[in-house]
Amino acid sequence: MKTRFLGLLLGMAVLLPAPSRAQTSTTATGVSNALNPAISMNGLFEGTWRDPRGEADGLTIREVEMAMTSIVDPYFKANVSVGYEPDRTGPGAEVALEEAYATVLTSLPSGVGLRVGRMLMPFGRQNQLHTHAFPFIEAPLASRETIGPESAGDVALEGTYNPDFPWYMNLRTWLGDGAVEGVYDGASRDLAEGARLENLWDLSEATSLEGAASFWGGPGLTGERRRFYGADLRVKYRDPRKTYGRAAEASAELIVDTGDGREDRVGLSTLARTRVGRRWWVGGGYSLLSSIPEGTTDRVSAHEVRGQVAFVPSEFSALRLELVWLDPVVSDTELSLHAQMNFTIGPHPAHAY
Amino acid sequence: MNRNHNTTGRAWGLIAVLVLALVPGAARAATLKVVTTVTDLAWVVQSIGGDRVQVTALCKGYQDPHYLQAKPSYAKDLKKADLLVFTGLELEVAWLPRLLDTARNPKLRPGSSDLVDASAAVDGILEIPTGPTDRSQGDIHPLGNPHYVLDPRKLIPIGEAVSRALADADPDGAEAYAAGYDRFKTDLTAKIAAWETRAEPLRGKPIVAFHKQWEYLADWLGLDILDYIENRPGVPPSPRHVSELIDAMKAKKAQLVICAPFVDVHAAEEVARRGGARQVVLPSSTGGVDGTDTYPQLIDTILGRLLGDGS
Repeated sequence: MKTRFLGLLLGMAVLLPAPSRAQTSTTATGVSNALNPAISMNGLFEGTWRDPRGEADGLTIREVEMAMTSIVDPYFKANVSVGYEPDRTGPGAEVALEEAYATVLTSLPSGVGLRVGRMLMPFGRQNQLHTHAFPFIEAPLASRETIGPESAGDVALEGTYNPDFPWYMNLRTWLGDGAVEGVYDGASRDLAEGARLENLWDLSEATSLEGAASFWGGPGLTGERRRFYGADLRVKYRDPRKTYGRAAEASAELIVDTGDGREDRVGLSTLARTRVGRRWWVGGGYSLLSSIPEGTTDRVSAHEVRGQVAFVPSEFSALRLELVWLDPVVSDTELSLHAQMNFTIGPHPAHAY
Repeated sequence: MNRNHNTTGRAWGLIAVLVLALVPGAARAATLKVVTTVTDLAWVVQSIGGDRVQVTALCKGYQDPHYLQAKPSYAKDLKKADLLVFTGLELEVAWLPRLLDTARNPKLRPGSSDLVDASAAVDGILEIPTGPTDRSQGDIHPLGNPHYVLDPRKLIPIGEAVSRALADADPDGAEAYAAGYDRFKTDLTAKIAAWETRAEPLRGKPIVAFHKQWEYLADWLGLDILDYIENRPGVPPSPRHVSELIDAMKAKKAQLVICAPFVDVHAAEEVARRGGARQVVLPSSTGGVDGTDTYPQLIDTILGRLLGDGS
């Protein structure tokens, strides 16, 4: 009910007509848009066809996300993003606060940075991405089956420090509420904690190598602590002398999910993609999850292979077609075809590296 | 006795060295670390600041400043900077905000006077939209065309703003920066007059450009840009547009097709060939091609290539 009310409010905000004549002085009305935040919206529309057919097959709105950002005052910058996501198997929908955090702008000792609020937790590489920025249409098997199909967020205080090393190094540590749906027990009074050490080396002007290690622990769903360990690696190439020149990247991410009263699960995801034309990209990925399924004693491995073709007409839209082969081990293999259209409206976004 | 004397002397010497090392500026002149987003602004800062500044440009002259990758290693330069000078008008919007967030340099926080938007000093910004604007027009710059450094007259007010910013950041060098600016202005004014004389044959010459980045150069030299290969910025042209463009080039006797080295040079070459014009690859920033290590060399190279005189 609450989420529908919030959705109604958002809809009204978008649909309200603009004033048809010159506005009365905002000094008198107090109604001003002079310092409104920068607002952008992103829409993700998908079609899915599975063999054998699944209940989530068909056309759907995957997500519509609204992001707002602004400088609050000389001390803070704020980012807020709200996502609308329909239930793919029923008439319901969810409007959820994905992120709402403030970043401290003032100078802190040793250049330490602070963020506070609800944020996507910087564990691993995949979990830091909003849905529209996923390299594949879905999160890879290893991430889906451990952290969840969407990136996990928590209300947390994050401290960041980058020491003055010859290469780029960044240490992020955080203390979270530990209420992460499907991952940690929200009813528990225990907190979650985590850290990520990330490095980047310039191998040449065109090529960089990134390597990072992460930890994230919190109150498990069974009353025992649950801990994630992660490591990720990425090599990225881009011809610096051409606007739309050759570009490619390859990455791997390892996730170890331990504790919470069950056997360890180990996941690995890899991807490689390259630009094959000004507006065309092709890529592929492999993901593996090693676990002991409930009610059994033997360790088994599930596998997933993805291939993707992407048409990117501009920086503000993309069309992707993806073929996925999944061997979940516990049931029959599945072949699926996914198509996705993605658009962004609003100010030009700052691109992540 | 003698030995004690020596020990005391060494101790005082050591203390003096430590004090000199710990007191910034006591033993050596301060060096202001300045980061610029593009090389042309780096040349302005270096020309005015001389030995008092150490300048680093994030985007090299041969790179497209719209699409620099926000590589975290660039943030290392920003982290140590005393001053940042950038083009503005959202030219660097796709990468600079993220790098500044990563750098967390307290001097370069939003609202700081050490963040110098060079466009604020420039009069006569071109192509500020006056009507409805949306992205059906391509990846447009909603605040106006940011490629003003290709008109050297615009660098004079930028130089004045830079000298003020340097003086604010390093008050001890205020006189040196004022003198540096006077010298910069005198030298550049003389060069502009010489360049204008040399470029006289180009006045009114009909040309075609690949991307909307040569308007200030055309405005300065009186070039007549008939149309663009990329008629909507950042969007590949349709075959129909290219065909119509080639017809227009023939009808209006376009003589040159100009493009930067980082765009699709082969497409420009093909349009030039079919339209009966000469293709000219022009560096759009200092360091864009060999032999353009300074801004005057950049303009000399551009004029030489436009005139086809081999210089």
